[in-house]
Amino acid sequence: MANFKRLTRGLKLLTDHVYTPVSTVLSNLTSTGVSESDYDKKFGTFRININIPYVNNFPKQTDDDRNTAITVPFVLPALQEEFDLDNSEIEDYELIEISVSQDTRGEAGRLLGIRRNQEVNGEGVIVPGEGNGFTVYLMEKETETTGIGSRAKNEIFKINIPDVLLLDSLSRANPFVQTGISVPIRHDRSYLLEFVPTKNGQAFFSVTISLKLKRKLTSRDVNNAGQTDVQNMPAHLGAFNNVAQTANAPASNAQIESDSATGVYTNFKLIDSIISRGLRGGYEKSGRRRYAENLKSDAGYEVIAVPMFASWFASNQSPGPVIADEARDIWSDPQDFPWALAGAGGFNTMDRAIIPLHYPMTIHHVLIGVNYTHAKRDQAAVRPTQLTFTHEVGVGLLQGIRAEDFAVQQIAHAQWNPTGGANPIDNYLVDRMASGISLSTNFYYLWDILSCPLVGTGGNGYIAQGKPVFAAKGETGTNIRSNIGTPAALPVTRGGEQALDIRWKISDTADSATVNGSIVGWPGHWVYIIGKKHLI
Amino acid sequence: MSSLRRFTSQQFSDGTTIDGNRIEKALQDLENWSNGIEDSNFANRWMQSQLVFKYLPPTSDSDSQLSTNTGFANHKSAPFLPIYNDKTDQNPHRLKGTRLDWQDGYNPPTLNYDPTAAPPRTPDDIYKDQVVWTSLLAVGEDPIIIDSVDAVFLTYDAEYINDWIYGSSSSGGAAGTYSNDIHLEITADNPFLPNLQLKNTVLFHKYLSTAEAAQFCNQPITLASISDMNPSLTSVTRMNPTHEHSLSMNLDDLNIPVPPFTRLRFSLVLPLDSGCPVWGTKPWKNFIPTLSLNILERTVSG
Repeated sequence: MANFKRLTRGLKLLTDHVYTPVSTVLSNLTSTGVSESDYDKKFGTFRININIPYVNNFPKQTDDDRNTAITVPFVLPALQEEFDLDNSEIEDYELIEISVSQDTRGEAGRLLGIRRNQEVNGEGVIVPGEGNGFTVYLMEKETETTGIGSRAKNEIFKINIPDVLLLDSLSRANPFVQTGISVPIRHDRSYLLEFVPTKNGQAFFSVTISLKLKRKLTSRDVNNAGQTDVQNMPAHLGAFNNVAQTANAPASNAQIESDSATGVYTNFKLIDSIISRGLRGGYEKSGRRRYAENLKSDAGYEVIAVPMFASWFASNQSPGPVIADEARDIWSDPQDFPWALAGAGGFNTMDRAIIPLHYPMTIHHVLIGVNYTHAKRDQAAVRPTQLTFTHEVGVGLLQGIRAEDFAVQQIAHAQWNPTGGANPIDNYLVDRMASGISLSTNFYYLWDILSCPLVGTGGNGYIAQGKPVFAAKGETGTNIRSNIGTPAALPVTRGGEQALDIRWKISDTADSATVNGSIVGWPGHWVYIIGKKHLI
Repeated sequence: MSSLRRFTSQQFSDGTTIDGNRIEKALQDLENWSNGIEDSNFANRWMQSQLVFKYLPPTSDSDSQLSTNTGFANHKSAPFLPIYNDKTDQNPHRLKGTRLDWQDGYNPPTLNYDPTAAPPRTPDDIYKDQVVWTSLLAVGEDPIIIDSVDAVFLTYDAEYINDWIYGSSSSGGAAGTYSNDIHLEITADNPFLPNLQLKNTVLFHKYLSTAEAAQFCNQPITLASISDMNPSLTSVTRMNPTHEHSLSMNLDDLNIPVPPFTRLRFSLVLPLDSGCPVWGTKPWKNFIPTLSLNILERTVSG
């Protein structure tokens, strides 16, 4: 914060009175860079966007059941440079806005779900005049990596959309946004979104919950001279690209002038011109820095939430013979997964997401939400115990969309078996969530949140992982990148990455019928890519 | 010579007066400015947020399984829904400009839910012409900019098969030509009549673009020879991605401003064409979609 000397009546005007403040501000703007403490708006925003394509008819047990099978957990870890600091030194977050919505074909009514029994197959049909209200809860708990996990009991926010708000002819709360929220979110807690329909037996299509949070702006990742602090970084290292300007002060006792080279106006104008052209920071799309930067705090927190196997539920069990069974509209057999077969060694499947990169980001963490929730409400969800059952998640940078080359550079990878297996899940645990007691009846949800470590070494995180990874659609000038991975090597994408490639493979060399647990819990798994984004 | 404009209104010029009061005022203005720099002074003051919409469509086996489970041929089309509503509904049409020239046009589903109607109704009564997957977002008290829209449709040679080329019985075009039937649309509800989709504004609409222009790549990729990550694309038995048939529609630098408290609807529209190898009666089964909506949002105060 600048603090200039005051000119009081009778004071002899010295050059310092005028030119020291000008020099101070010019130095901030063009040498050291301005940090967020001097900004009027000090916070960047990010969103956690949750889209659930279909909520089946019976996520609850009864109308007055507070609980639901439709849950999504998340954790917002500290950025790597802060991860090992004391809690008091780590910037936390604040929930400021939430948007909730569902697709009702634009009408005042609700839609029938996928046919579940011998009733009318009115899937997608509008039931006019009947709303399907819901409540979204945001629950908080402490993280734990031992035992079966516990319930998120601390309700920190909820938003209720009653039926009546969905039925008015002129104004319906769909979509609806609640602003002006101020709920602190901590880096050392885990959170659970619970989507609870007001009534049982009602389906929902394309539920979208968008949480908008804010966190104080920070500086972007800068590589060291040895290029080992940030992986896949361009040769400019992310260094502050300033062009220093200084004030041109007159000699003592010189005549006070305005327009000369040492004049008052001339030096004030140096600052005014910088402001006129706009203070610069962040990156261009290609990862280039801007010329004559001024903003040191030009990065914010970013979360990209990616649903995997969304709209699927399968365990080793098959649906029973009762045709009115509540989960029969979404319950699959293991061999129903893409490319999977029944029998020993037959089960392998993969889901894949490609997310194009438009602006540079630096990835600090990748987290995985493994869902075991059973869609049939009176069935217990179980974590698989067959030791050959394997999950494998990878995140990479892809080059190859209408490109001359096709390559994928690994940036994060995790492969795990159940506890006791060759690569037990326990090695990756960040948190476990379980409602119900002993995973028995009246069970609501069951999740594991895992860390998917970045490639390389020397980084900070829940488990050993590599340093942050820079990602941008490079061009000449930003195509030469620092090494990545172990052993450290030039990236195979050679600075030409175009998209994030997220893959989740599930397989078993034994019979999937004996997995003894949920292969994909309802309504699917999640991958979270967390890092820094930059001012544009 | 241009005047000082940004941090102070005080002007200094040779031949005019200068005194301590005016210098003090200018310095005070400079101090106030530098201690709380407004984002309007930033050349770069936006940040991206990426909204990802994705699901794994049903397979032939899961479709059959669900038919067995429910005792009825099951569409399992969620999240896709019929594009038209009944003419007695408030919004018979909720999207604009999406009619395909080879379709009859407004072909509403046969009645909304009628508890007196004899079951069973078939999905054919409901799903006609086109289906649409719509996701809704309500913008808060800060404006946003829609920066880019991406639609990546992955295809394989077993499950999720599509080469986007019309066959001899396709309605949309001559056999051997690429399809151009996909619509991507973003609409904003009217601020005064938000529920009347007739009054909505189309902010973005991509249509009539040939699938050939959106090909992921123009030749097959020999997966065994590429630099790949784990889990590799060759590690799943019977899975063979066909990147030469996959699509990647990337629309960027859209720069569409959206005022505060706007209600947005982001839609993907696919046709139904029973004889067409590209679409069939269940077009959602012919690829795995990943939709991304990139928006820019401002910095905020504490």
